Amino acid sequence: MCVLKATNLCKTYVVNKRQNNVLRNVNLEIQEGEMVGIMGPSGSGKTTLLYTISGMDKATAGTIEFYGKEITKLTGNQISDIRLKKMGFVFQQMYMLKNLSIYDNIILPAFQSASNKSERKEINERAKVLMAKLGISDVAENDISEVSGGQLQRACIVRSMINNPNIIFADEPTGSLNKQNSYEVMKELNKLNEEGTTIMMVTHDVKVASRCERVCYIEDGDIRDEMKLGKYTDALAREREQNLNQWLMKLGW
Amino acid sequence: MWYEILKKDLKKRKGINIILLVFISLSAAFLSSSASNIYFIANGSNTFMEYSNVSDVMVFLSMDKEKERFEDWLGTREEITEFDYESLCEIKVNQIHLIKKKSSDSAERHEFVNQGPTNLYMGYAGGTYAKPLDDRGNELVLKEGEVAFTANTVYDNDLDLGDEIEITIGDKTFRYKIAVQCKDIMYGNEFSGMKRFVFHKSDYERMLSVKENPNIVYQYGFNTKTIEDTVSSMNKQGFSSLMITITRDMYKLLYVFEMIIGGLVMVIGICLILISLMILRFSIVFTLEENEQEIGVMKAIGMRNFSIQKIYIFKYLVLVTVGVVIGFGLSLPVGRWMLDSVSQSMVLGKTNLMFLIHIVCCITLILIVESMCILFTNKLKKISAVEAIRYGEKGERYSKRKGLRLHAKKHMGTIAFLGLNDVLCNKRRYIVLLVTFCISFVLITIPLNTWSTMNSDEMISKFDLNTESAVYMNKIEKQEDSNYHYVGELKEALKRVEQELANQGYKASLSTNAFYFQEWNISGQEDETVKVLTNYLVAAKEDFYEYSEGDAPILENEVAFSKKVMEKNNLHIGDTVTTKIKGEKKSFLITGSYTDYMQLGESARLNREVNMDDEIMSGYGMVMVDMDTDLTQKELADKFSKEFPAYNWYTGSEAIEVNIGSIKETMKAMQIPMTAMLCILIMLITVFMIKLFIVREKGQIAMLKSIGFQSWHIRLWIAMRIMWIVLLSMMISIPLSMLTNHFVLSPIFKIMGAELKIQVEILQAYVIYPLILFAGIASAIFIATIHIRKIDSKDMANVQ
Repeated sequence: MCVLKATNLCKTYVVNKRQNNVLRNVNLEIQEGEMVGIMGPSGSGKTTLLYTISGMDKATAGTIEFYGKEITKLTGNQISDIRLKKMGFVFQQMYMLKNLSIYDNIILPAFQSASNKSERKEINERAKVLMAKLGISDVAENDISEVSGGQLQRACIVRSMINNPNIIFADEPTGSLNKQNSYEVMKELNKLNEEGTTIMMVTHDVKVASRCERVCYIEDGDIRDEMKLGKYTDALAREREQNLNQWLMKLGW
Repeated sequence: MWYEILKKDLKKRKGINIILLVFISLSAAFLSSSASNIYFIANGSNTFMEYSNVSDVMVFLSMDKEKERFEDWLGTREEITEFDYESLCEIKVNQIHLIKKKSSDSAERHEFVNQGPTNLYMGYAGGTYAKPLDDRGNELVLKEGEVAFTANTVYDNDLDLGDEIEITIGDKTFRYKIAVQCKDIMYGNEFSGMKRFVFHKSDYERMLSVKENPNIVYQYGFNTKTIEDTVSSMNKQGFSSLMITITRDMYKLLYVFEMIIGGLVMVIGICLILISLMILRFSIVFTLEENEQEIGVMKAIGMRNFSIQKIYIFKYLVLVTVGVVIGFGLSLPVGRWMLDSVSQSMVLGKTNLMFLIHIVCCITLILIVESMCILFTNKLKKISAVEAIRYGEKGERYSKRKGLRLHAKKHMGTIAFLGLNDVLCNKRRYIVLLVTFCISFVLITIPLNTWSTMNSDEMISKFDLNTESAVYMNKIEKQEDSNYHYVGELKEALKRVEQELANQGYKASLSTNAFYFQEWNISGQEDETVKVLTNYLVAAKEDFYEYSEGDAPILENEVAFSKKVMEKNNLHIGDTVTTKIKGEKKSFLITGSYTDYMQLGESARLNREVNMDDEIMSGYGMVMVDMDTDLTQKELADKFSKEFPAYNWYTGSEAIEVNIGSIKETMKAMQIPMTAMLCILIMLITVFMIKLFIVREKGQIAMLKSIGFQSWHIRLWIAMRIMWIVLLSMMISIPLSMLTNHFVLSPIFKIMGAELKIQVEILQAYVIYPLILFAGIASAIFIATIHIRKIDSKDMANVQ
């Protein structure tokens, strides 16, 4: 089933009376349970594609369908509602509210979307399970400045998962992490994908992208090519990485 | 480089900088104009006294039978270097009519309006002391047929030069043209309780000659080497018709009231400076926090603390200078306007120093703000390069986590929780809001509570009036009557009015207080006497006075004194004092003490049994009308005003107004402008704080939006922080307001002569007016958070 479908998606920024066409007629489909990586050189439009396709930014032209429903026609509040309840976000910077503990930051979107107070107990249970799964239970009561970058990013992943989203958008989720932390975060994202969560991820890192089922290469605002790698397994990790590297080199990476 | 940084900063924080600029401009304008106002009035009273040739002592004799003896006494005193007198003729409101010109050939006849319990006198130009002056401060010169009015009379009656006054004496009517608006040091100030119409001397004498026994008052002025000794000696002479004594210092006091507006504006100016400094501190702290990373980088590359500090000092120097220049520009017209209103009634001398005073005030303000700026930016020295790069976080914590736990709140909404949690995590940040809201909520109750207290029954009783009376009236003399000097005349007049009421079917009994300036010998020593205003209840069926200690004087040899007189003269209940009645020395036993507002709390109450028939009264108070009626005081006063237009009828609260002048109405009139001012003030502070929060938390807002929070959720989140503070400040301001009542209002009423229970109109003071301020805060939140709609996911780059 198609989770997300972008048709002739365009995004243009105007800077100092000059038009900058960041996305040019992008067509992309993401199927349920897929893990799609977006790669491309700097300034190619990767992050803009992620922000536009997730409804965070408005498209200049084209359509985006989420489970067949055209979100480009929805109001800002309706899109916000979809983002709150059906989408999860992981950013390169670990954006969290300063005055809340790690745990409260995680449960915040769920508490906000809870239709009644009785759901809160269930949310707390879910948060505990997810935190235990990602190994951050012991830092639950810490301030955001009191944990490592890896722990914080895992907390962001838990937050993105807290509402049981249909899709997670990840923008360079390992961009500010060291090798070990990157490995842990990607391991968790793969686990989530195995459990059925659809993931769309923007990355620069070949190693990270090789963990995706499909990688799209974007250049000058258009998807130039895509490579199907199949479901990730640890055993084939090296081979996947080499294949991806070769493909990217062919594309001029 | 500085210019570029400044330009960038001014653009980035436009709203915040504009609010700071507004506060600094207003502070400069208010401070400068009030300072010059106070300076010129303080100096102006000396100039006015000099130009008017004020004597060291001025006294008023109400009857001419003691004139010769008084002049003899003046002649025997060696310390008195010179003396002179002039006569004044008392006139009643119903003898005066005004002819106001409507156009060149038509005019309208109007009743004369006399505000408050003011005595009206006719006088003449050319006297020796306390001379009336023209509008330029020169000695007043009038032609025959001309009259001069003071500014307050012109204002009260809406007169123009060229209008006419018609005076009826007996069966003759005189008409004069209002030629000059004069400045009269003694009679041009409403607190003196006297007004004078100045005529040409021959016109004055012509009017006096019409009546056989005109009601003349003699105004004596004399210069002496020892004011206190001369006045003390004069008081011991027992001049029974001596009404009022005014020494040189008292003139200054008369014009102290003119400084009240200046004083109030100065207090507002100082409050604004304090608020500006608080805003400045927050602005600097927020800016430093926001720029922590840049500061860290600058420190890391080796820049010295002061080099970084200079950037901020320069920015605020520019901002303060611009604000002060705008404020200076505003202060000149404001200062002139404030002086113009005063210069109508007094001579101020040369005011060309105004420019200099304003410049000095403005420079002082720049220095204060810049010193504070240096002090506040010292925080920068404490930031280490690493700490700054980590946005002020050390990653260490030795105490319990601040704030609340969302997961532990089962019943609180997420947004309300976020708001409360933010306040609890950053208490210092919200103190400025809390303090401003508390001040506003408390300030708003002051005029309200003052007004309610002034309207209370207790206040009426403190003016020795019976609160149970159906209605009150004053001035019961007939047009042809002179002022009453003896209680017998007063009793007859009361009976006459009772009869007039009875003729119309109203069975009423009238009573009043007769006032005597009685000399009481308190120590037993012959020459040690104190002159005390002594109340004597006339025609009352029962004594309605209240006593705080002891009992009412009932027997013929009993008296009660006010607490102030007792304390001042070390008197106690049970002591014996003496006074002369009918020329004979009589002993009185003190039976009780009380507090009231008669003669600023210094008075005595005689029993009703003593015979005062031959003593000269100095006056009498409000006439209390007791009768059975279902009508309220207001309804009855309105009804009687129509049926008996020859008299003035008052409700209890109006009777107080007659006694205390327009203060009560001024308090009421102050309420709306004060509410508006406080509302604007708290709105500005609220907008300022919210703008700072938004600038500081742009990234967090963007993040919340990206994870699905809607704009209105975030606006509500910010609103909730302010609402928690409003709620807290409302709770704090109730006990604070009670403390203000106790420590501010009560002492003020005590200065007037008596302690009073401060009345609080709970609905108005704690519900209606706070709700008005609350509405102001809510609108400010609405306005300030509109910008949140424009923040989107791209702004996440600013997150910290």
